[in-house]
Amino acid sequence: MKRLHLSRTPRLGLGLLWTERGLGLSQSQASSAPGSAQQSWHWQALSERERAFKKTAPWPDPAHLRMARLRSGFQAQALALAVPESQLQRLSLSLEPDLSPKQMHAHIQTKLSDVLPWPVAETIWDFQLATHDTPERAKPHGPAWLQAAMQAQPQQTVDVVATPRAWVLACEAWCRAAGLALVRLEPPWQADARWQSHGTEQSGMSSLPLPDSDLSAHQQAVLGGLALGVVMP
Amino acid sequence: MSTSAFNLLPWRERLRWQTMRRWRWGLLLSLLVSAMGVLWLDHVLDGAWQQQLAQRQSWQDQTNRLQTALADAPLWAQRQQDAERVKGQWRQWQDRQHQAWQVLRQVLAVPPRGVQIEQVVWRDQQLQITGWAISAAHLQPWQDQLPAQRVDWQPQVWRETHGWGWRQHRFGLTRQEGGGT
Repeated sequence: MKRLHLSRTPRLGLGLLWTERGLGLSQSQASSAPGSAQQSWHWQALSERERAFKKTAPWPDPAHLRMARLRSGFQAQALALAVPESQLQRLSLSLEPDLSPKQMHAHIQTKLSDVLPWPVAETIWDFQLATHDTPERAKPHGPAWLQAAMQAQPQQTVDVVATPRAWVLACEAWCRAAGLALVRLEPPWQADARWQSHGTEQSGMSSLPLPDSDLSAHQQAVLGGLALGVVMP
Repeated sequence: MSTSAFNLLPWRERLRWQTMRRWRWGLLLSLLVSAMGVLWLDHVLDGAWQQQLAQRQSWQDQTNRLQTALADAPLWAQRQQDAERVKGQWRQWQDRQHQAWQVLRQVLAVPPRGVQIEQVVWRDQQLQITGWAISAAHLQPWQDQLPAQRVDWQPQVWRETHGWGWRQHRFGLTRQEGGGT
């Protein structure tokens, strides 16, 4: 998948995750060795007043984020965020094979209009060809001739994720107010998978980097994967 | 590394918008370059056309001049010949004129008593005088002083001159210049 918001990959990437108790920051710095990056972490707990603000507002106070960056000493300005599960729709669609990208885009948009709870025009979505087999295709039921026919029939599946456009625009505005440039907005499981894959390759990140925070292991993996995704997409 | 690479920023729309903007700029630049090319070509062709017209006009003028010169060539050749001939004979004509003037002075230096001169012709080195005389005695002294040779002598006839009636002889004299009488 192309990255189109920056002409080249930044050397510093910032991941951000917030909870009721505070903000988690992670910075990745691309190193000269390919496939490796230096990771830094910071946890900024919220005060009682800030928690009260957080309860009333859907987004953390940008000033609080600026202060957290200042205390962390992070220089990265390219930011990646995870879309909350409540704002995310994930779908798998079957398409005819041998479609051009433009035709594929049009087919997906048509199918999304029937499936999504929001109007397609008010939705931002992304897709990629699925590399895994569906259970039905992996183990088809029925007689042997039907299984053979189903195995032989050309078909391709695309994974689609979608989120409301209003939420994305609000997210971008909030990042600009905090002095950051939003370059990635991705599902949390994608960031988690990236971090797990990176941890497996580096084989030295088994311990939790932010033990004093209230972030779970999954959330910390998401945080690390977000920052990593900026410099190593 | 994970194989999933979703990005829910509206990058497709922005890509389309950037592509459209690049395409519009490209189209605008293409139109601009095309217009400039057409204008430049028009300018070059117009200059070449004007130069061609001027050259054609020059050729036409030169052709007209040559045709006119060709048409007038015989006349001018004749005139040139006449001028050359006059120039070559100019000294001779001057001599003849001087000679004629000398002859006329000689004729006028002798008073014609009883003689009426009617015509004096000096041609081909020969002086011819015609006139009327009352008698041969009046003519002979004048003829001797010129001197000239009498070539004609007619009988007397009555003539009226200045209100008077006279009986006169018509005579003709000649004198050969350049050695002869």
